[in-house]
Amino acid sequence: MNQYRTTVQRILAIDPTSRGFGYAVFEGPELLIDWGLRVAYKDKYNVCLRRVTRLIEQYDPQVIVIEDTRAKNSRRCKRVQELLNGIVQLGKGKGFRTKLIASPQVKKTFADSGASTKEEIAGVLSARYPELLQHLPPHRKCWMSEDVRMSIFDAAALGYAFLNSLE
Amino acid sequence: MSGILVAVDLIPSQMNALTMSQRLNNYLRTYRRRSGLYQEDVALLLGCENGSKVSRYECSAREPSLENTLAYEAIFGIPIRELYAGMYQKVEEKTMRRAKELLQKLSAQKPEQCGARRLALIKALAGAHPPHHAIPKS
Repeated sequence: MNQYRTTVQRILAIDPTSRGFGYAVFEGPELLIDWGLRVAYKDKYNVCLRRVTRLIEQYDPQVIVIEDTRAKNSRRCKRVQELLNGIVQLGKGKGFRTKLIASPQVKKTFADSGASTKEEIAGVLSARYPELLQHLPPHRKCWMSEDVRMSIFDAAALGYAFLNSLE
Repeated sequence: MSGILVAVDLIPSQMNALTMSQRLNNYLRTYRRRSGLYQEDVALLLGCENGSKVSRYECSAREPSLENTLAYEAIFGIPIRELYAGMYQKVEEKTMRRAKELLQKLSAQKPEQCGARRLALIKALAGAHPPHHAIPKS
């Protein structure tokens, strides 16, 4: 009986994109509960916040993990910065903790696995969580724009980096 | 809307508080997505008309019948108490509370009147040990 009362750290990691956001929900580093994309075409700020609220209600996470746009090498546009700020405010209003993870910290987490690029990190993640393999985009050529599904892996990488930092 | 993002650094004591939370009511969606099945596929396997019923099961808007719950176990190969981990936790806690009440009632009686096996099981339940461990091997 007691083995089912294990310690639980449920986190929601969010990675905004040009069309909405990708998300990943973890329950400890071993269990990836949910993942996916949420798309918004018009009024992106409000639609995204509504969808984040729905995810929060559905999964009741203890921590929301997002990218730290204040980091030196962050190149996020103003809209995304405002959206992330909105998520922080949303978390505050609902009594959740929000953790900001800078991109170098994510890369540092995966450096041990020999992954330095986003594509390599996605590969490492899909090896660790085989359920993500079906979302792994094909190799991006230099003339191609980034596949929108990559934001699932970016969100998962943020969540994984946060959980890894707790160990 | 502009403003400075505020990072909340979590200290270990705060993280300990976080670990006390409940598990989700059910993990049907997790295991379905892990297995790569669509809601329509699961609906067909459960003998439902379409995926909407499966969607309601997954967001806990509706509880599946015992037959469907067992079908879920058969589909994913995961025990019901893992599929419904949150619900199992709640039921387990309620049962523990009732077992404590029953134990208090029985403590008024003489031990020989209670029966050793019965008492061992109830004591184990009240202490949250697996009941099958409490039953003495005959």
